[in-house]
Amino acid sequence: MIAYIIRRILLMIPTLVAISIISFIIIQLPPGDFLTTYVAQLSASGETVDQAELEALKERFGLDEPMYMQYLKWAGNFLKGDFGHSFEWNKPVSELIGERLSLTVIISVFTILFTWAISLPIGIYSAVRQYSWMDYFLTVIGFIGLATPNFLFALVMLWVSYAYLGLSIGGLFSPEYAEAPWSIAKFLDLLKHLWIPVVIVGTAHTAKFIRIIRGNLLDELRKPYVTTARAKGLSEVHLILKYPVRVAINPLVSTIGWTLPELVSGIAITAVVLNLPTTGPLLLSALLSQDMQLAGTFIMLLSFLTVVGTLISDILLAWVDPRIRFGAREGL
Amino acid sequence: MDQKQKEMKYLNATWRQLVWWRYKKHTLAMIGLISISGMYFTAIFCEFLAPYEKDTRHLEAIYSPPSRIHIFDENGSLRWPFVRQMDMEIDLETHKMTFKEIMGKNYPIKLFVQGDPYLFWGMWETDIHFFGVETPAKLFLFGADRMGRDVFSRCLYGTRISLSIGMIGVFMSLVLGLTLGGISGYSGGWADVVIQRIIEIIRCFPSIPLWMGLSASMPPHWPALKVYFTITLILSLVGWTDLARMVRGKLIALREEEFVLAARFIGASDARIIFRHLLPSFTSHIIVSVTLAIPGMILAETALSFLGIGLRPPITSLGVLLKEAQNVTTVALYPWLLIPVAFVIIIVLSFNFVGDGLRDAVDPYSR
Amino acid sequence: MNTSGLKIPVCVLFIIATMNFFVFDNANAFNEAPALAKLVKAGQLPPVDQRLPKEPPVIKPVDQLGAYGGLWRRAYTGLSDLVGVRRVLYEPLVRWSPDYQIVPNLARKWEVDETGRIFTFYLIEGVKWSDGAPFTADDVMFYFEDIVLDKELTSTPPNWLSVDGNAPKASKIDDYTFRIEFEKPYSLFIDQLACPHGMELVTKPKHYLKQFHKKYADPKKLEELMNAKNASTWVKLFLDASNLRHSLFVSNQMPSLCAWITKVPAPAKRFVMERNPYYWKVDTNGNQLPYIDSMVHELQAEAKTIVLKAIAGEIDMQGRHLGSMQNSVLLLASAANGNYRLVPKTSTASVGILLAPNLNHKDPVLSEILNDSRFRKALSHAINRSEINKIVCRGKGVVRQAAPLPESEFYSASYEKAYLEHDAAKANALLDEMGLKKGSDGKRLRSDGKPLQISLDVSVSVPQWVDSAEVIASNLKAVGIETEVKSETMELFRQRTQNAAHEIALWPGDGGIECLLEPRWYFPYNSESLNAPLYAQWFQSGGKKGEEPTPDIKEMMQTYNEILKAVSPESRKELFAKILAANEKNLYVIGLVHDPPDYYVVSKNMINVAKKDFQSWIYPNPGPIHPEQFSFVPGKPGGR
Repeated sequence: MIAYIIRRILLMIPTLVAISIISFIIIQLPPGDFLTTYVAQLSASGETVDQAELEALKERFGLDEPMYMQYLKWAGNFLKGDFGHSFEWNKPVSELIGERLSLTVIISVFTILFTWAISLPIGIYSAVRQYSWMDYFLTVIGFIGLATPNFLFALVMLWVSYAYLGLSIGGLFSPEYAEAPWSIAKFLDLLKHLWIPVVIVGTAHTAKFIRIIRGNLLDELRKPYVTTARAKGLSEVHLILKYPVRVAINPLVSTIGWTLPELVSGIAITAVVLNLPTTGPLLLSALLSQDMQLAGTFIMLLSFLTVVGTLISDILLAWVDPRIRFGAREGL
Repeated sequence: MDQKQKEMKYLNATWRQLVWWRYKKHTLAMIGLISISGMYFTAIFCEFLAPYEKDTRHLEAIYSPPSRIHIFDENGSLRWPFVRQMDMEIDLETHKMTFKEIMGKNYPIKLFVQGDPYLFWGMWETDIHFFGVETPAKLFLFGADRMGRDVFSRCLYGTRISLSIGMIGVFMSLVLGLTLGGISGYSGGWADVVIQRIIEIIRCFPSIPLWMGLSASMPPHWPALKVYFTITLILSLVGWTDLARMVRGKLIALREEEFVLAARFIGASDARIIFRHLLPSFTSHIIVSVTLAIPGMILAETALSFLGIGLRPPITSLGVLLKEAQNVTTVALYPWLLIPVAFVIIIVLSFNFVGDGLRDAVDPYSR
Repeated sequence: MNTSGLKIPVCVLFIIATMNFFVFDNANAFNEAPALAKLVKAGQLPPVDQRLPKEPPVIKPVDQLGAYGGLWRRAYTGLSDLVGVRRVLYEPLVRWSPDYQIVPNLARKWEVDETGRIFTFYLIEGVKWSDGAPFTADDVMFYFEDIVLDKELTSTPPNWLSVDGNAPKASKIDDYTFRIEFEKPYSLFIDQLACPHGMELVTKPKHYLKQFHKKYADPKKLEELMNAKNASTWVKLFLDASNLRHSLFVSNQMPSLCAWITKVPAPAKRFVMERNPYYWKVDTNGNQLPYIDSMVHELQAEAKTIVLKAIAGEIDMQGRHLGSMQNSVLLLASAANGNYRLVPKTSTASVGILLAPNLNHKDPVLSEILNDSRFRKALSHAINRSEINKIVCRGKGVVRQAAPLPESEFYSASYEKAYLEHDAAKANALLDEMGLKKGSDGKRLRSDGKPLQISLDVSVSVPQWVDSAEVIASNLKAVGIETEVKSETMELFRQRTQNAAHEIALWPGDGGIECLLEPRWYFPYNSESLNAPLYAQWFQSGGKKGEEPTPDIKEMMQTYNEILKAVSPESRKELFAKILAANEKNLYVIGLVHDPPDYYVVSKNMINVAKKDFQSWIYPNPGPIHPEQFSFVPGKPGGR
C-alpha cells in the first residue's frame, strides 16, 4: 500500500510539470497579450494610446521578454512559493486567490451536501421501486439540473430573486454586511443568498450521483443476502437501509477527491452570472485578458487539486474496498 | 402451452432481442428514444419543417411575442386554427413595442404553403414549407427575436447544428478513445505509460482554460464550416479520455481470458484478435458510453457559446441562440427567447434516459 | 467643439469667470459638512476657511442648495473599469462647461500671445491637495521638468502635448503663474487641456511623488519602496505611482484635488471614496462642496448585473454599462416601479456605427476597388439605413453620414445627407460602371475574374454592431456583392484593423461635435482611423513610417496642420470646411445612423443632476455637469 502511494506521488511530479508548461502555452495561445486587451479596453471607451505609452507599458508588465524567460521566471518563483503578480488587479496573486478561496470552499461544501441530500433519497427510491411512475418523476427532477445550462439557470434565478424575492442583486451578502466582521447576523445573511448558487450548481451534479447510487443499489439488492434477510422477515426499510445502501454509497467516497476541483471550476460560470466573490470570475477574467501569472497559478492550483484529489479517492477506495486494493495495479 | 411457448421464445431469443425486451421495460428510456428520433427527424428536414428561413427578418415583427392561435372566430364559431394579422406600435415614451391583433384579418394555418425559398439539403431549390400562413399574417410559434426572426425556425436549425456537433464530436472522441485506449490496453509497456500520462494530464487540466486556449488558437478567419468542425474537434479532444480509459480497462480485463488466449494460440493476428474477438465483447458498453457522452458535448457547446468562444452567427446552434438570449432584458421583457433552452433540456434528458435504459438492458447481471 | 480660448483675434486675451464661476468674497460665511466640523473641533483638521482658497470658485447648484450627507452608490467591474470613476472626478486646469464650452477651473484665467505659441496660466491661489499641502506652479513644473523631460520616464512626449513631436518648454513665473511655450503655434492646446488627458498636469503632487523619483529620493529608501512594490526599476515604480488612469484610485495615499478621495482602494469589493476635506469649491451659500459624503463602487463580475442593480434601485447615479438600446428599453420599462429617473445623454459620435473601407488593403485588386469612390458610394446607396434604424434603434435614430452633428460649429447639411437614400438601382449602376460585372449566379466578379468577396470586420463587444453588420451584409448581397460578417473579439478586431488586414471595419463614428480634437474619421489622423491606418501612421510619424497617402488625402492632412496653426476661429472653420468637402466628394467612410440618447440612471432622491448631457470620451461625462454639487434630497440621504 505504501509503495503504491509513493509511486503515485512520484508520478504526479512529471504530470504537474507538463501541466505548468501546457498552461503557459494555452494562456498565450489567443492572439495578442495582456497589453492588447488593456489597449482594446481603453479604445472601447474612446481613449487612444500612443506608441510611446505602449512601449512603456510593455516594459512595465515585463512583456518585452521572450516567452520561455517569462515561463522560467514564473515557474522559478512558483517553487519558492511566490505565485507572481496580477497585471489586471495589480496585486499579488496569492492575496487575490486567498481572499476568494474561503467562500469558494464554503459554497462547494454546501453544494456537495445539497447534492447528496437530493440524490441519495432519489437514488434509493428509484432503485427500490425501479420503473415505477414515482421513480420516473424523481429521476426527471434529478436530471433536469444536468440538462439546463448553468448560465441560463443562473440568469433566471437572478431575475427571480430580484423580481419576486426582493433580494439584493448578485453577490453573497447584503450591502450592509459586505464589509462587516463575521457575526451570526452576517452568517444568516449569507445563508439567505447562498442557496441560489448551491441549487444551481448542485442540481447539475445530482444526476451523476443518482446514477451511481441507483446502479450500485440495484446490484446489491439482487444479492442472496438480501433475499435471505427478506425471507427472515426483516422490515423492508430496515432491510434496505441497513446493508445494501451502505455498500452502495461506498463508491461515493471516491467522488470526494474529484468533486472539489470540479466544483471550483464548475461554479465559475454560475459565479460570473451571479456575481459571486469566488475564484471563478477571477479565473475567467484572467484568461480573457491573458493575465499570465494569475491565470497560470489558477490552472496549476486546480490541476493540483485534481491530481491530489484523484490520489486521495483512489487511496480511500482501496482502503474501503480490499478487492480494489489487491487489483489496484489494474485500475491505475 | 402458452406459458411454454413464451418460455421457449425467451430461451431462443437472440441477445439483441433480449436487450430490446429489457429496454422496453424502461418507460423513460422509450420516451427518450422517441423524442430523440423526433429531434433527429426535425434536424434532418428542418428547412422544410420550419415555416421561415432562419435569417429572414420581419421588420414589422421585432420582438413579436408568440402568435396566438385561435379556433373560434369573432362570431364564436369553430374554425380551422388560424392567426390574425398583427399591428405593431412603438411607444414613443418607453420605446416599447406593442402588438395588436387586427380583427377580421384571419389567416388559417395551412399545410404545404409557399414561403421563403431555400435549397433543400443544399440541392433542390424550393419554397414549399410544411406549414405556415399566408402573408401579411405571420406565424411565430415561439415569437420573434430582436431582428424579427422566427424563433421556432431558428430553434429547428439550431437543433440541427447542435445534434450534429454531438454526433460528430462523439464520433471523433470514439476514434481517438478506441485507438489510444486500445493501444494502451492491449500492448501495455511504455506506450501504455505514455498514453496514461497524456490522459491524466488532460483530465487534470481544468476544462475551461483548455477550451479557451484551443478555440482561440484557431486561425481567426476560417470560414464558418471550418470553425464548426474545429469546435467539434476541441470538444472531442477534451472528451475522449473517458472512452479511452473504459476501453483500456476492458481490454486489460479481457486480454487474459481463455478465448483470447485460444485465438492467440491459433495464430490470429493482433488486429484480428482486437477487432474480431475483443471489441464485440464490449460494444454494448461503448454504445452506452457514447450515448451518455453526446449530451455532454451539446452542453459543452452551449457553455462555449456563453464564454464567447464557441460558434458564432451566422451559424445557428442552440448555444448561439441561448447566448443571444443571455441578458436581463430578455428574461424581463421577452421571455420567449429563452425557449431554445427547452430544446437543450429535452435533448440532454432524452440522451441520458436512453443511455440509462441501454445500460440497464445490456447489464449482464440484471434479470 | 469649442474655440473660446482663441475667440479674440490678436494680442492678449483674458478669460474670466463665466456665470456660474464667480468669486465668493465673504470669508466668514464658509460652512462645512458636519463630519468635518467634528474633526475641526477635535483639532484634527484646520478650520474650513483655512482649508479653502481665499476666493474659492462658486458653483451654482442646478436645482437648489443641497444638503450634506449620503452615500452615492455605483458599480464597476474592476481595475480596467476605473475609467468610470475617472469621468466623475474631472478637475483639469480648464474644463468643459455643461454646454461643451471651455471655462476656467484650476486656472482662473489664461493668456495666449499673438503668435499662438505662448500660453500663460494663472492658478487659483490657496488651493490645497487633499493632504493639506498647497497646490502651486511647482507641481505643474514637476510634471514638465521631471516627468515629460525625463528621458527615462518619457521616451516621446504624448501626442496631445507636442507639436511636430516636440514638447513645449514650461517656466514658472511665480507660485501661481506659469508659462508654456511651443515652438510653433498650437491652436488646440487649451481644448486639449480640457480633455481627460489634460488632467496629467494637475495630478502630480510633487511633495508626494518625490519619494518615487530618482532625482529627489534617497537611493536607499527608493530601493526599499521598489522592493515593497515589487518593481524592478524606479521607472516602473514611479509610473505605477503616478499613472493618471489608476493612481488616484488604487492607493489611499495619493493626494488629489478632486471632490472625493480614496478610502478603500480599488479593486476592493466595495471601493470607497470619501469627501476631500480640502476640496476647493463652494456653493452659492458658501457651503464647501461636495455635498455627498462618500461614493461607493461595488465590484461586479459582469456588466449585466449592473443593469439589474440599476432597476432594483441599488444605484444612485451612473451611466456607465447602462447604455445601449437594449438596456434603455429595460430601464424605461422598469422606471415606473424603480426608484429612479432617467437623464438622457446625447452621443457626440456622428453615427453609432460606420463602415470604414480599408484604403490600404494589401490585395491590389481589392485595394483598387476599395479606393474607388464609386464603390463606396454604391455601398452607401445599397444599405437600407431605415431598416438598421428600426432594428438597432427602434426607429429613434437619425439616418445620416459620418458628418459633424448639428450641435457642432462645423455642421454641414450637404455632407450629412449625401448618398443616403436606399437605392439598389443606383448602387448597381455605379458598380456596373466600375466594371464589376455580374456572373451567371448574380454575384459580381472582380477585374481579375475572381468572385468579389468582402468581409465586414466587427467587434462582438456590442451585440447591436453585429446586428447592423448582418443587415448590411444582406443589403450588399442584394446588389451582388458576396459579403461575410466577421464578428471577432475586440483584441482580434484591433489587431487586424491596425495592421490594415481587414476589408471593411465597423466602428462608432467618434468626433461628431469635437471634430478637431477627434478627427479620426475626417481624414487618416491616427491609428484609430481604421479606413487608412497606414496613411495615418505616415501622418503621425511625419512621413517616416506607414505608407505615403494619395494626393487628395495628403491635402486634407495639410489642411489639418494649417488648422493647428490657425489662430482665428473663422479661419479654422473655413479650413475644416475644405476637409468636409473632400469627404463629401469621396465618401471615405460610410455613416449609418446617429444613435438615440442613452440614459443615466438617477435616484429619485438625488437632485442637482442636469436635465441632459453629452456622451463622449473627450467630454468625460458626467464630470462636466459638476458631480460635486449632486445631492440627496434633504432628509432622504441615499444609500445604505
